[in-house]
This record gives sequence, C-alpha cells and structure tokens, in this order.
Amino acid sequence: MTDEECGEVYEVLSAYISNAGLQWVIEQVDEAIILGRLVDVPIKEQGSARTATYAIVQEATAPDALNKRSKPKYIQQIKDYTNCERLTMLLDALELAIVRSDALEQAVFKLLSPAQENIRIEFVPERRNDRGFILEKPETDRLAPLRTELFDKIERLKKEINAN
Amino acid sequence: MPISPQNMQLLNDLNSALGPAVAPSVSAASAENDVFEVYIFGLVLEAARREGATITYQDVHGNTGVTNLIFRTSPSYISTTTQAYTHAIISFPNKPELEAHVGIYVAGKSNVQHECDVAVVDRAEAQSARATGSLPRSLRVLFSAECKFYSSTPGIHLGRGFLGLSKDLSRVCYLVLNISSTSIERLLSQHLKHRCRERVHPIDQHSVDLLLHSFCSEFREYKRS
Repeated sequence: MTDEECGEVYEVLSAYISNAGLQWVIEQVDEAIILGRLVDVPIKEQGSARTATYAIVQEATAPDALNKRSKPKYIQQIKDYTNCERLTMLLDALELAIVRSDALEQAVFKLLSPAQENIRIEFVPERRNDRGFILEKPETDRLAPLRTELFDKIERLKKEINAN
Repeated sequence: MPISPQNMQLLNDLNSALGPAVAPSVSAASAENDVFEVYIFGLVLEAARREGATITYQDVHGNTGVTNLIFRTSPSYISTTTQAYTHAIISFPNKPELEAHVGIYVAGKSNVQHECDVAVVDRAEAQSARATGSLPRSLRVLFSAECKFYSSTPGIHLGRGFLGLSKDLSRVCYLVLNISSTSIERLLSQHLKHRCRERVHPIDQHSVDLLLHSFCSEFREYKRS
C-alpha cells in the first residue's frame, strides 16, 4: 500500500470506527498524531524536524554513550507521522481498545474471583441519568470469537501496509 | 490515488467484523477506563493475597460476601449510599485491617479533595469516614493508583497532572498506564514518591509482574511497620 493510499484508507476506516460508536478511539489517535513523534537526533542532523520552531525540545544524551567527554549531544525532535504510520496507529488502537479488551475482562474476572465463583461486575453511575454497564463472563466469552475475527481483519490490513 | 479494490474489500471485511465485536464496556473511553481501574484494583487484591492477606468484599451498607460487585463510573464519596458500591477488606494476620476502594475522594495534605482511582485505606479511617460523611485523609491511605487507559500514546499533560495530584497526597502514588509513554516515564523517573508503571495490561505479563511486585512491596512494608 502506498503512503497516499494509506491516507485514503485512514479516512474510510475512521468513518467506520466512528459509525461503530468508537469516536473516542479516533480522538485519542488524532491527539497522538498531532503531538508527533519525539526522536533523539544528533545536533548536526537536526534539519529534518517538523518545523524549526519545534526543533529543540530538550537536550538528551545518547543512551549508549560511555565516555562523558566524547558523548555526542542529542536533541529531541518532533517528526510527523507518515500516512502509513498513522494508519498503523489507528489499527493498533483499535486492536488495543476492542480486541485486547477480552484479555482485560478475563483478567478482571480471574483477579476478582480467584475461586471462579460466578461473580457479576456492575458499573453503576451515582447520578440516575448517566449510563452504566455490566461485565459478565458469559458475555465476554460470547464476544471472544468475534474479537478474534476482528483481530484477523486488522492483521490482514496491517500486512498490506507493510507489504509495500 | 483511489483505494484498490483489494484493499477496499479488506476494509469492508473489517467493518463487518467491527460492529458485533463492540461491547458496552468499550463503547466509550470512560467505560474502558472503568474496567481498567477495576483491573488494577484486582492486581492490588492479588498482591495482598500473595502477601498472605485474606480478602472479603463488602458493600457500603456493611453487607459482606457479596458476589454482585458494584463499582463507580465516576469518583464519589466513600460514604455514598445511593448505590451499594463495593470495596474489599484486606486482612493480614495481627495487623489492622485495610480496605481497597475504586474511585473515591480523599483529603490531601492541603485538605483539598482529590480523587483516587484505586486506594488502599486504613480500615478504621474508612469506617470513620463512612460514619461521619468525611473524607479519608491521605495520610491514612497506604498507597493509591491513578489509572489511565488509552488506545494511543497520551501526551505529557497526563504526567504533569499526576505530579500535581500526587504532591498533595501523603503516601506513594502510582500512575498506571496500559500503554507506553516515554515522555511521561521520563518525567516521573525523577520523583521517587510518584511512580509510573507503563504497559500494564494482561497481554504484557512482564509489566504486570513489575506492578504486582511494587504492590507486594507496599504490603510487605505495611506488615513490617
């Protein structure tokens, strides 16, 4: 997949995710994209930052520098993500938020009831107008294969991104 | 460049699989964060068990042995009785009992009200707070955790906010993230009392073990005191 096509796919996927009621996932990814990626760059190479204004964030040192006197100076630069990286971030976020929630919920049941009693976990708002929800193991178990299917689709799309 | 038919098909397949996989527990960031808080609450209980404690669930009305566990979706007072919110009683032999709570307000050193996503409180203090409708004092909070679930790397503002909160709390405070954030970890590495634990999620057992180890150390320290 070319970087340009990744940009197009990102837009379509965002719409799908939003339609599924997961606008919060897009918002969190967008926030991370706006912040950009901080990379340690030797001072001599600092010309490729997003903009000169953002170039120098703080001084850092190379992690593997052993000798203080010869230690190269590094700065942190903000780099923009490519379209392919953005798409990968969105797919990773979807995987973490939806697919991996199975592991989180199963762990909650195990930790709260090591003896495997049939517990029910309710999240109840104090205010009457707010919405709560219930976690029940049978429901988590029912969703598991659906989450796995989604994981397979995410992986297939990731492979296409990396194929280029 | 338009999307190739092959990739459009992949997108549509993903879209078809997406809807059925979405549960109420993931439909909002706040819901996923609520589950994450209870997960960390569970790790606190697991650490206490490993250190020899027995755990009993109790609701705010004093009913013990409950199997329908009710948790808050937003912070509230420990004395709140509008819902039968659940807490755990942590009992170590020959030590005063503790209570673990999710989403309660405590009074900081400045006497300002702060929310603790997960807090382990001296039981006598918790009982007194319930009886009098007051806030547990942070001095009587053995340790607390600020829990943050993000689907993508959060900004440094999270670390700054946590520093502000934890400075007013008397005891050790953990910032627990489900995801990696180098900048927050760097910021908090300078502060011994305010600890950051990243990538805490069942899919990263090493990070979970590190946090469990930290919680165990808190309880060991308590047993020695």
